[in-house]
Amino acid sequence: MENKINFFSRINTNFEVYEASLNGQKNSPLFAFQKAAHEKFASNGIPTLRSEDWKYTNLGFLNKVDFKIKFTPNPETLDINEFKGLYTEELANTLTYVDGFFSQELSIIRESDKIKISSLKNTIIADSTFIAKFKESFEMNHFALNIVNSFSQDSVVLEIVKGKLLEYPVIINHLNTKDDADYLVNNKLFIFANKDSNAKIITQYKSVNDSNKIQNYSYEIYVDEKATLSHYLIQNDNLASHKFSVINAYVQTGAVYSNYTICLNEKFTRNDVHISLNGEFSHADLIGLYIVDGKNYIDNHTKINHNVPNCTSNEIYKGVLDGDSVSVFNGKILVKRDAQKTNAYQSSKTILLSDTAKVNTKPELEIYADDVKCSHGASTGKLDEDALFYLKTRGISEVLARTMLLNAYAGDILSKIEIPILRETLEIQVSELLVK
Amino acid sequence: MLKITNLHASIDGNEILKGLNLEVKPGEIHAIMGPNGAGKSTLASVLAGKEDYNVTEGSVLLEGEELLELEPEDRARKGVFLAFQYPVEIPGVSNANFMKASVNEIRKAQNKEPLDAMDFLKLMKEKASLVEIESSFLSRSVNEGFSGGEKKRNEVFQMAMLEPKLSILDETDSGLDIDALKVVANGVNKLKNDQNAFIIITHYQRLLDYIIPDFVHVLYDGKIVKSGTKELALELEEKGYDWIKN
Repeated sequence: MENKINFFSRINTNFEVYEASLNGQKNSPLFAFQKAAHEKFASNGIPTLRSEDWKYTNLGFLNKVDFKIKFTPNPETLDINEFKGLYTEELANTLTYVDGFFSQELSIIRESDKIKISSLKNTIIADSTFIAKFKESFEMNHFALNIVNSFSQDSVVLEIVKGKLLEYPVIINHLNTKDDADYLVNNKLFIFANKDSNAKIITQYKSVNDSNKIQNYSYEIYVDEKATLSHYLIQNDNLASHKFSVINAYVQTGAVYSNYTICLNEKFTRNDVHISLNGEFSHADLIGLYIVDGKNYIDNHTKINHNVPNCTSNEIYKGVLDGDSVSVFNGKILVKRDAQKTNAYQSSKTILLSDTAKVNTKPELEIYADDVKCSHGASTGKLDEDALFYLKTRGISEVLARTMLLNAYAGDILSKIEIPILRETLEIQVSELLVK
Repeated sequence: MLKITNLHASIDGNEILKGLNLEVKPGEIHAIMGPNGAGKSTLASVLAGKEDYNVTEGSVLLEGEELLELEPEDRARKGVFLAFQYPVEIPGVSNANFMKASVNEIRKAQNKEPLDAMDFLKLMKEKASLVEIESSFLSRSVNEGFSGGEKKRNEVFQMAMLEPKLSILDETDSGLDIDALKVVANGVNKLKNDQNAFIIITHYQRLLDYIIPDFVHVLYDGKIVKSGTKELALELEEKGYDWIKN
């Protein structure tokens, strides 16, 4: 074993320090869980470029940050106005995290008859079968997820009450403050949509100007029978942010989980979205838009497991790359042998605006059932020359024509957003980003 | 208005236009007919400024100014309009937004104030009725899901909106049934006046029953080999293009 100080060793040291700081709590179920997660991390380590799921991802930056891990939140009250560009709705339900810690004072639940907030600890006490619902997540081996699980304190469980339709979205703010040191921030959240419920959740991420943090996010989502859950991730924290986000969603009979991942030019973002369709007649949407420039990096890895018959999935990812940016899209679809009458659609498109931008796209379909409809398509290219010419022959300048076409391209994804104010807000942000 | 002198143009090394000459005066309608491969679409593309084509010799003067040096958008701003044979679909860009950008960019180039939303809507509705287009069309994406006839009507609608000096119709009648043809011809006839001019490129004589040309030219092997009046079109219809070859 080398005595080199790097990311791997820093994580291990931090965990040792954490373990030592615990007095009576070493016997708690939470610590048992954390220890198991850390052991998984220690034995598997950080993936290298030889690992198939990480072969385009340069994780070298992790070694350069001498980070600390917080075990308690900052005591000072936060002025939320310090965070520019937060999406808000007057009547929305809001949950706010600061540096990975849930902040009761910056959160407000307006539809309190429809939403329950509790802790993982209490939820498990009330329902011993709860954690088993997320069994597959604990079997995953993902280094960033292992880290979140090692260090995350008691997680919040956001529950949508059975049979309730939320009138307003739940906006989850992940805020990262500036500190005297660099931190690795861990956020873990459980979202449980009870039977027949209907909710829309928006998660967004904002760091204060020169905040340099490595951010880990884990969302464990369970959509019970006939429930509908739409989940919008607005990743437009475009400063020095480096983030890893792992979403595990379990969809039961007749339920729908729709995931919208909108990535607007962050420095480094790696998204893993795993959906297991575990009940018949369930449906998953994976809708993604990414726009990157400069030397930024966006990586979207998705996996849809069709585990049972009669389920449908619909995946559309579109990207626009400029400058020296790099994007990765890996869309896996696994159709198990018994998952007859599966209907799975996947499309991945990218437009390259510069000669130095790079796209890595890999659809991966593994189909074991024989009565299925699965189609996938991937295309990469430039803007449609014929369309550009057509616009120019009507007097429209090259610059305006390109902007119009790019907005139309991105707008195709944004038009699928079912919250009008959010859609319009994003259309403006995307439009400003595309004016280059 | 338009003076084409000794125009030579090639694509991928093949010379298609081999010394074409044509003069069009304001208020005139010129029809250009010819067999496939003669260079009809090449002529349209070269006039519009398509990059794929290489002009190796000759000049095109629009009101005394050399057109060939101008970018496509600048030619449009000078009043040139090409109605495409195969109009492209542009999903996500509405007909309304397209026309608004177009009208205002052209107005800007002509030192006119842009139209505000109200005036623009009024203009659009007025012109839409010219080609029997309903207002629901305005919010649809450009040409997306349009039938052949609808696409051609959209070209004439745009012509009505932009009021060009010189309109070139590139085989506008191809793929149209007689009813669609009549609507298109009707639109063009309403738009023509003493100050503008039209070049109607067509393979078949049929359209010329509805848009009466002042002059008919036969384009063969990259050159205009015969010119006449509308009777020439009828003669071609009767005798076929082989007659010209001999």
